[in-house]
Amino acid sequence: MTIRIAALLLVSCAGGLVAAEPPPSVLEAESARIANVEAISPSVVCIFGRDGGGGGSGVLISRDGFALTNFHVTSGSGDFMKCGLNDGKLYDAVIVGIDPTGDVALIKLLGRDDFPAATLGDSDSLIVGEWVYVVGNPFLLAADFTPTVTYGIVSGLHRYQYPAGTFLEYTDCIQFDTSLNPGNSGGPLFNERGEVVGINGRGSFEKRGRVNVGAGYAISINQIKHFLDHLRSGRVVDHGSIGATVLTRQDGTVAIGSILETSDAYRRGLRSGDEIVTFAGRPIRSANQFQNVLGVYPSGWMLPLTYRRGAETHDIMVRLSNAHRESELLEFSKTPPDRENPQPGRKPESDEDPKEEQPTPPDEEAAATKEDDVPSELKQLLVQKPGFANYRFNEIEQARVLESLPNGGTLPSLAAGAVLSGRTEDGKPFRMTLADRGVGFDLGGVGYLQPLGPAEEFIDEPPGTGGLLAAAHLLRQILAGSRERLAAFYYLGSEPIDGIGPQVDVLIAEDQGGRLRLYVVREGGELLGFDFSRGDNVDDCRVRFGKPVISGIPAEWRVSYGGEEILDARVERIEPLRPSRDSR
Amino acid sequence: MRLILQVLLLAAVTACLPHVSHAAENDSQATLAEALPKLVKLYGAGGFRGLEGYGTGFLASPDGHVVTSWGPLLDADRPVAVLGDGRRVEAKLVGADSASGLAVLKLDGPGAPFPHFDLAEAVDLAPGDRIFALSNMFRVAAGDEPVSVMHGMILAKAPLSARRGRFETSLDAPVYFLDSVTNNPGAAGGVIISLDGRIGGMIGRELRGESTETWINYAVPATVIAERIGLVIAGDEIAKPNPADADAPDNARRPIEVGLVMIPDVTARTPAFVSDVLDDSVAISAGFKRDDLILFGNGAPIRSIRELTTLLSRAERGDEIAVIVRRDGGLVTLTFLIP
Repeated sequence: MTIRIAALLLVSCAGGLVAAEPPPSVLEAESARIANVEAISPSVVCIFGRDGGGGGSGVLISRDGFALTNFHVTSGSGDFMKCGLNDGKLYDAVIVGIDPTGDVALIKLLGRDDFPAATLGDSDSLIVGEWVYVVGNPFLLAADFTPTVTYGIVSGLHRYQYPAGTFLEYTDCIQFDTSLNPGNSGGPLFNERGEVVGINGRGSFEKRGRVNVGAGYAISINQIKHFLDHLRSGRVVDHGSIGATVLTRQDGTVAIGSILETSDAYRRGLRSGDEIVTFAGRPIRSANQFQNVLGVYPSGWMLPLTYRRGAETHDIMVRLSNAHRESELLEFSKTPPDRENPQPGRKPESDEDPKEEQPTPPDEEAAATKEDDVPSELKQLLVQKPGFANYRFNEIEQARVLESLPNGGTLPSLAAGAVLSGRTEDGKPFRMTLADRGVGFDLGGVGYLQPLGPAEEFIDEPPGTGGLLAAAHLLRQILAGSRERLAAFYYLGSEPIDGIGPQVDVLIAEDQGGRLRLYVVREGGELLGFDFSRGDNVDDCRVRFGKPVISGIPAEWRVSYGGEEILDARVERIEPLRPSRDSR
Repeated sequence: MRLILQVLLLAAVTACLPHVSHAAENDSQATLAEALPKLVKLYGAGGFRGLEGYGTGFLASPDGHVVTSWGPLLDADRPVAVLGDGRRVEAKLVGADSASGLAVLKLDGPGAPFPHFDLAEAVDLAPGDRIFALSNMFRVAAGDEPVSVMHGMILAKAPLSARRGRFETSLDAPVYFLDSVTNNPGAAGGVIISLDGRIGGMIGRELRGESTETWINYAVPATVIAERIGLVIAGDEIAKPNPADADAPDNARRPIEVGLVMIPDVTARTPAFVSDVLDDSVAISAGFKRDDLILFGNGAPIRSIRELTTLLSRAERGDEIAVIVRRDGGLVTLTFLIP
């Protein structure tokens, strides 16, 4: 038997030499493959820790050096890394943002503005049986940074891979039989057109050690696209929850088990026992599938959900809450080195079940960056702050969005306060006075007041709006350039406004326990509206702006609360307050 | 001999051809879309170390006959089959053929006619032929999506000489050896198909080669099992293999071999009490004492001496066994290596 196989192998190779010319279609396919490998290889990154430890793979996605990899690669390599490209050169790189739940990290390579970037494809268009390329740095073989290419087929789609605890969960991922080995982590999965369709992160390695068994998994690029602007914000980003458990019933239908009364879904009418029909536009046939769909969206996004109760079907929009508590995510964010917890690149808890492993090299433990060795010009690119992987990149994104706002985000007409006056749609006159000590509102002769000051809380004023006056105050702080007075101000990322509208940038202002989400059109800086929440368990005060603008401020405010339109106001005049009358 | 050489040469020429063209790829995707609904995911008994409670089967008749590899998951009263469209259906054991290691189940529910492989059109594969392997490996198709697909090639068609744990296995017909890792946990009962979608063989249970001890990737030719499947479906008497056969005393590694003298094994449920420990044995080095009651082995409950024997027999030489014993009212963990 052994001899016969040996003979076969010998004959195979000899056979190749004497074989007739293969058919043209085969040669064409080979040429196309070779051309594809040549085209995609320059964008593939070999990632190493600064001290040579850790490491994995990544892929450049922009000419200014942003690259995707796995969170479990950067958690091993530290905040600064060395990245090799197939031009044989080694570049410095710095951490930007991380998604510990989805096992994705964004890093930025430095030193060029013309990096060879890969094109992102559409992972939803993949078909089982389609050829895919895994390109990366398995076993850290690429001493000259020329990546290793392996080739195989899509084995399955919409796979779910259980998390380690609640992190490193692979939802709706791509399964392939292409060879995947330690060190391939974070590298790209390309389709035949040379587009990135996934980021390779884990495999099933049961029984055969940590080497390929033909079952590798990639995070779909469509999931990563949802998170990309969130990652560019430099934050530790979180996935979402609807605040309810979902179960598959005996009859095969999918239903809500228990639901938090504090959840947005509950306030929208969803109750225990309701049958889920579709979620995020996809029909739901199992609890597992629901988890699969949910897992590809960031916390804070609004998604359509259709449920059935009895004979009636209801369509609602649900805003996702955080999947994790703030304290759980804080463990991943960077605290300044002089603080208590100086552990750069904390490693997540290892998977209890050893058969599903992240293919990182075994020496990952020794990879913590020695911050002392980092040159000072690099160090300036890392700003550590709780809740952020690298706050420096949030400052950059804040600046970009603010730059697009009227007068660069410093409206002089609002600086010392202002009075906005006009009429509602049904003809009532109104005056809103935005001052430092309070926000007053006179609507058709009835007065409302939100007092401001260290001891004052945000209240639901006018009652039933969810806190319109408090929201107007936070909006003024953003637009007038008084952002330093807020408890927190940052760039969140982007989302489709109202779940169905255009993709908009989101700025967050927090103060006095309240939180304002301001929606800004990506090109041109037009303000589309805001959602304001006085706390976690109440509905938002929702304001959407119309097109007209007066002195940089939107003139048409459509106010709704709990899904009900309650006010449609048109600002006709804006007068600055005289500083002497309202100085502090 | 000359004939064999010719076959080999032909195969080698085919083997050295690069991948199929793009047009062929589109055909392949259509082939897979048609073939995948003919596979079912099976869930049954098992679920502890080394014994997966899941497997694969393929539909072999419009009436809902499902062929799978004989295995412990069929110990369940009613294994559950998940069809290609996500429907869950209970299945009933029709019969089995011990020689080829296959079992036939019948889906218990409406849905006929089912999409199925036509065994009359089974393709005889040769070294160098390209194949797709379809299986529920690693139970990764956890929702209502189809099973996994791998691509590969027939390396050889040759007799199987392999073992599982200590148990030798042999089929009386040559099997296909494959170049990709098709025989993963849960893959047994899956199929290999030709690029035009005809069934070529059934993926067998996980086995190690007898001489190298490496896991081997193989499939039993469909042309070999087609007739047997037909006989089982027709209800002709074919001996149903007793799953306990695998644990028959002839092949078993008994506790005495590691130095454990158990109390007399009088019933199927005799608790695993240690009656004595042999001097100079693995067991005495590990710290076993007389009157220890073995409760767990490698994380799985040990409810009887027979289960202990099964655990020991399934282990490979050099494998670590960790057992928890009850001693003087407390629990003690002891570990040893299989000699």
